[in-house]
Amino acid sequence: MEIPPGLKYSKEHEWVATEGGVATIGITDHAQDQLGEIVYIELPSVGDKISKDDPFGVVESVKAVSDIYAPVSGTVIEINEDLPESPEIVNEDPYGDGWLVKVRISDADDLEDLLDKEEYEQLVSKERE
Amino acid sequence: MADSAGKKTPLYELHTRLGARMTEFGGFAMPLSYSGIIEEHLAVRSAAGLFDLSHMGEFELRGPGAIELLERALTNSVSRLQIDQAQYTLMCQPDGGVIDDLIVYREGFDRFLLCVNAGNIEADKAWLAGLNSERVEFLDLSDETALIALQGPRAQAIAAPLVDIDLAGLRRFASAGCAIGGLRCRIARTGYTGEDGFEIFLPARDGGRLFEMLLDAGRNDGALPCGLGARDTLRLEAGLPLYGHELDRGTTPLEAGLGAYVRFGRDFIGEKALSAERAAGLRKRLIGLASDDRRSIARQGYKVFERDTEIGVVTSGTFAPSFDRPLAMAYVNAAASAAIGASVAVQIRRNLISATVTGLPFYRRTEHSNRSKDSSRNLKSGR
Repeated sequence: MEIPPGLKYSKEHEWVATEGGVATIGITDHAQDQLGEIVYIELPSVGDKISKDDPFGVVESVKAVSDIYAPVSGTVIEINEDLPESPEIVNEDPYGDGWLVKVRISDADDLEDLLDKEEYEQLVSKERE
Repeated sequence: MADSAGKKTPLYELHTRLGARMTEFGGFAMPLSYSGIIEEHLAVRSAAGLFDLSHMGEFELRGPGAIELLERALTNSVSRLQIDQAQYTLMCQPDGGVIDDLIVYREGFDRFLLCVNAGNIEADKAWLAGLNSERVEFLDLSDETALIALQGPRAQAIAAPLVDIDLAGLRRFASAGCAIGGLRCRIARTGYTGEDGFEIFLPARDGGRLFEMLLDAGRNDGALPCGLGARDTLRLEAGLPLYGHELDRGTTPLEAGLGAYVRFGRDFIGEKALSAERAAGLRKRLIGLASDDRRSIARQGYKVFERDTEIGVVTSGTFAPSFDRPLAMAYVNAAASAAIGASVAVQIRRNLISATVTGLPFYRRTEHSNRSKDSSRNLKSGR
């Protein structure tokens, strides 16, 4: 399972990449693998406010519906427009073309609560036991 | 999500070796998928798929009172079965609510095999025991029996070289004792996918060997091992009910559209209630739904509205790979019009999503051919 360095991770299996106060958010390789083939994605709109730990979107595979939880609070400034038509991109490239939203972070302290690569690896291996 | 708690079927180690993603179903750790639900689904529609169904329950009933007991317990009439024939049937409470749906195989004049849902094994056993006058011998063979299904247009071509009987002569819902690659089995032309195919009962210890043998034999034909994920999408497209979704103790066979499997005039349990229901009219009926945006999935428990009135609830809904869009089944109350082609709405989370009412089944395979790849897709209003 791929867990790239340099990203932050949430316990709900989202990843966060930050640059100049903007967080790009997606779901991890482990999350997409557990879900199976993704067939539907519901994202917020540009301008929506999202709150840390609250659901802000939905990912559906053939079998199940899963909420996507906000790893940070902030305002949505961009969404991945390709996903409604081609949700399978998230399976194919979860850390690249399969990103979900970009958010202007309202409180940089939120990032402190997230996991680094090693901590997230531990979380995943525990879940796989 | 990777919940693999529960009882294990005799093929558990094989599933692990084949890289299956496991899930809990009916108290068993079962394969959800191997290569992916969509790929497995499409393999069954175009070639073949192999399923481990060893979680299902098998009861054998023997003795002079067996016919009498089953005539009383089941909605379809076992007296109509010839030896080596099978039928779909239901077991009801006195109020007509469904205890289980099952297939009964007549193995001899007064010997029957019942194949029941895994999650209902104990409830069925208790119910039948309560009806049994000591004359009928009742054997629960569930733990010692493996059940393997080979389904799809290539099923017969794949199995035929390994089987010591003429499969072409085995008609739908017929069964026969046979040997497959030297293993003693009972093979039946039955299934739960909407395709041609077979279900094969054999001793638990031989289940894994048969599965691997058929997988090898079918490899060049494109056969894939398939999990319960594909089984669910296949049965939904074929409009087949699943206990706990379309069927439960609060639903009658008539409401589920299964009147063809109810034989009146025999005094079976639930007959009075079902006769009264037939005379008075149904309280609810089963419909098909296709979401108009071709993306939103209406899942079990979601509410259905006609104009602004709540008219029913979704019982099963999923992405349907053969149609490349989501489909669902729902119960709507009798007062609702919800005619085929009508527009309704399904509440999906906070939104009302428009959907079109369709007939069932969504999918019907091309008749008169066990081999055709040209499957009919009749998801049209007006059918």
